[in-house]
Amino acid sequence: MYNFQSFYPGPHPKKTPEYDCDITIKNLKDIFASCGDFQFRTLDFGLEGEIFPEVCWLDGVVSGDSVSQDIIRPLTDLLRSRAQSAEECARLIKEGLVYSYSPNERTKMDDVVNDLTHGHCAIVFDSLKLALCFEVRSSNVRSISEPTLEKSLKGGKDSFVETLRINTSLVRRRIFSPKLKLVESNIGRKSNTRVAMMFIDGVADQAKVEEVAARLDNIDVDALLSTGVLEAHIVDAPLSPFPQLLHTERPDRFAMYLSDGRIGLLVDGLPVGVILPASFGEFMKVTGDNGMHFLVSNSLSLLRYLALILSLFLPALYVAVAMYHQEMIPTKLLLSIIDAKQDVPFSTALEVLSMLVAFGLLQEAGLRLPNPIGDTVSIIGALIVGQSAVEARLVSPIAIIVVAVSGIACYTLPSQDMGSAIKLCRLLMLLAAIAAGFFGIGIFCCILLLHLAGIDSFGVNYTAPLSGGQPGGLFRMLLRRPIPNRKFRNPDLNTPDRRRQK
Amino acid sequence: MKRGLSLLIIICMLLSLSGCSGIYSNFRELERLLVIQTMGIDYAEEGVGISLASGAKSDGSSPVRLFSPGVSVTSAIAHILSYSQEQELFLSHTSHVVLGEEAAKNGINGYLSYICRSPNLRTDIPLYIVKGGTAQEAVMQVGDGSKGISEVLEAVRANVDERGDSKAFSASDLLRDLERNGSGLVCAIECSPSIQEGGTKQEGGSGSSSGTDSAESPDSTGGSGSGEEKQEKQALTAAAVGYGVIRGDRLCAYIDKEQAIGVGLLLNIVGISDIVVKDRYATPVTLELDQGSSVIKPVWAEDGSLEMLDIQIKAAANIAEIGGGGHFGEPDYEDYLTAQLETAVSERVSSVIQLSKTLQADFLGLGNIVEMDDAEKYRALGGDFSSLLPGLTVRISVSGQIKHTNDIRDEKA
Repeated sequence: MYNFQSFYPGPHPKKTPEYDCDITIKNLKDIFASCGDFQFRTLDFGLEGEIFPEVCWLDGVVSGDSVSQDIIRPLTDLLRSRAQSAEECARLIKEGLVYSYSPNERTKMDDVVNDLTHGHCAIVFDSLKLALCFEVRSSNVRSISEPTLEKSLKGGKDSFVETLRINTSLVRRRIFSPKLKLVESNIGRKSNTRVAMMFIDGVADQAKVEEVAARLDNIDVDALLSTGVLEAHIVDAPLSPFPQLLHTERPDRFAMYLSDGRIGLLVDGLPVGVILPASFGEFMKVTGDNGMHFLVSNSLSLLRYLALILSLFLPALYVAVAMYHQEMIPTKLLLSIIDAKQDVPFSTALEVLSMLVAFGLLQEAGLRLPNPIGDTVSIIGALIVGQSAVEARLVSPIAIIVVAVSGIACYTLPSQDMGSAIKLCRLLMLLAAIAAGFFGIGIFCCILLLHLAGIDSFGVNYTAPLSGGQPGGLFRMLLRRPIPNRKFRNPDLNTPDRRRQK
Repeated sequence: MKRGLSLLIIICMLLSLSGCSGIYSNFRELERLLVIQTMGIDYAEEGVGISLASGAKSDGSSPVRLFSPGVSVTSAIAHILSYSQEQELFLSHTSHVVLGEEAAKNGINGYLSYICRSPNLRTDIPLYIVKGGTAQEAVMQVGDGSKGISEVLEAVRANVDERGDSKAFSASDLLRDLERNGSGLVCAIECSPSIQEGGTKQEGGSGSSSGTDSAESPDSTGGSGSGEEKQEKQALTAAAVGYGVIRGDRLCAYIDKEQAIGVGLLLNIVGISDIVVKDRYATPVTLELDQGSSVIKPVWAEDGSLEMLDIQIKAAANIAEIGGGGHFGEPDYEDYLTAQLETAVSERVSSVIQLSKTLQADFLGLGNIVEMDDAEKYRALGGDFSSLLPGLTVRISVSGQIKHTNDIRDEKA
């Protein structure tokens, strides 16, 4: 269907076929040697009993009941097993002898291995050198629960789970259309992880779809066990600390982005969906925005951007002003800063740097520990140690306030990935401010803008809609119109179907 | 790699534009800064006397006050700097510049030039002239144990901004007026014993250099007077008393607070000011003037000469206080008060115009108004407009209004 671009395979290409041998139970046993969960059973099949197909599966991956009831039992039923030869037996099985909705005839060992590892049961005919595979996946998966990171007030209360097919079904339940396409591929030499690319045909830019598919096809890693691996291999600027793929655990948000003309990726085993392309402004939006009145959501959006500015600039501005540009602040503020700083033995730069490090330590400690202990650590760290440090004149109260406000502002950013990038930039900007005051901040801002403007996310500039020369870019980035007035899709996405509503 | 290298080279080149170097670095240790908020400038035999005062400290200790003479402002400040090595004088937050009367009388161009050239001083700093006193007296003695001249002048500034009896014009305002009109106005302050102190002698170090700071200050090490003498001095406070008129670059006269109301009306910077008039029963009535404006129009003769200036003033006031409760039931009582208001305003405006004529100082910017009306005719007048002032006819018409009687019997109130 799609003309996927072929890529140079690299110096160490993946061996294809990986298992270049005939489909026989012996070969399968060799492949799954030392695999304790590999199970097989030889059946005495046919009226004469001269056909011996082997049924094999991976225990735990498949449902034992389904294998017994739907596969083995029909095969061993004397009345039903009237086949005279292996060919006839295979034909009968494909025509419905066993109770399965997905019979797959496999003639390549790679396919059989892939099916077995993905919850299929294989009936192997040594004489025919083929296998018939049936999906009897185990149902012991985590049930759908409420999202934990992206709380929903008015939206759906379900979230993605670790099972790919459940996740795709959750999206299908939002977009009841055959135009919602789903292209699957396997990634990972060892993990063989199934990845589903979802998009709405006619809405998503076809060129982008092909580009994403090609990039997925080009991923050649041992295992795809986290979205980080995916992101590192498909984004345009993998060295940039700024996130270029949106992550969401909410199917409604995933579906909303698909309807915008973006492309979604779901990875088997990961309870998050990945959206692309994603520009900087998308990381500042939250799903709940659409559920609120546009004035309320716009005010919250502005608040988030204010938080971004505070988080990024406040420590650097404080250090620059305190070290180099004391004339720029009101006299009373300067006097109160001097008073607060009077008996502190450390320089302003060291003070703020150490506070940032302490803040980071507290945050890490709080995250790594179980909730009750984490809370205790936060309280001890923030209140007791902080207060003691101020009383002991080790740090000035204003330094604590600056770092705390900056830290809290960072927590208001909707994307944790963006928050992490901002924290890194905050530190670098602080160093620039220590080195050269406002001049340093100015230079760092230039470098940062240059860097951001140089990133492309699947054909969309990272600073879009500010870049690209479209009128009203700043308005579109910061604010949103009332929903009835949002007639057209984002022009940066180059969607074939531009109109969103009448 | 090439891109990164190019970026690095560009940044290095940009560094040369920052103005930073080993000598000229903006880096200062915050805790070492002594933030100066008021600078006093006096005329001295050898050149100039500079007084500096910091703001009040949050711990309640007295503000630091420093004084040093010098041949120039720069050398005097350098002298103070050399005696305060423990703390670094930080002049960028100087919010008030106080000129001694002698200094103003002997010419202020040098001081204004210093303010303009100094990278540490802003030209929007308000200027004050100490009427009948020195800046050193004001800077070193005004205030009590916890407040100094900076806080007092801050209060003065807020007060004159609200009231119409003066205005704290900045150095740039004065420079503009001197350049445009040849004369300008400066807020005049007067130092007097603090009312709170009741004229008693001040105890402790307030109002003088004291403690650690005084030990370092050039003042106490041979500047002006000994510490014991200063202990004897009274705590002073400062209040605005109108304007000082600068003609050329010298102080030539003062405008008192009553006349300053006329200045405010003519310059359209009317604040809240009180005018006491008498009603028809000779009872004093205090009117609170809170609105007013003026329109000054030149009247040209047919031959192109300036026939006169027509000044139309509107003034609105409320009755703030009235002896005996007033006679609001009587017909024309309010009209009489309105007439009294118009007369009082007219008197004040006339006196200011008369002063301008007498001094031949166009501090009201009348020449500029005439020029804006008809530049060609203005040029045809020839010469300096100030020299035309004595012979200039001025017609003043005042339209007064009593807005609120603030009397419960008054139906309009």
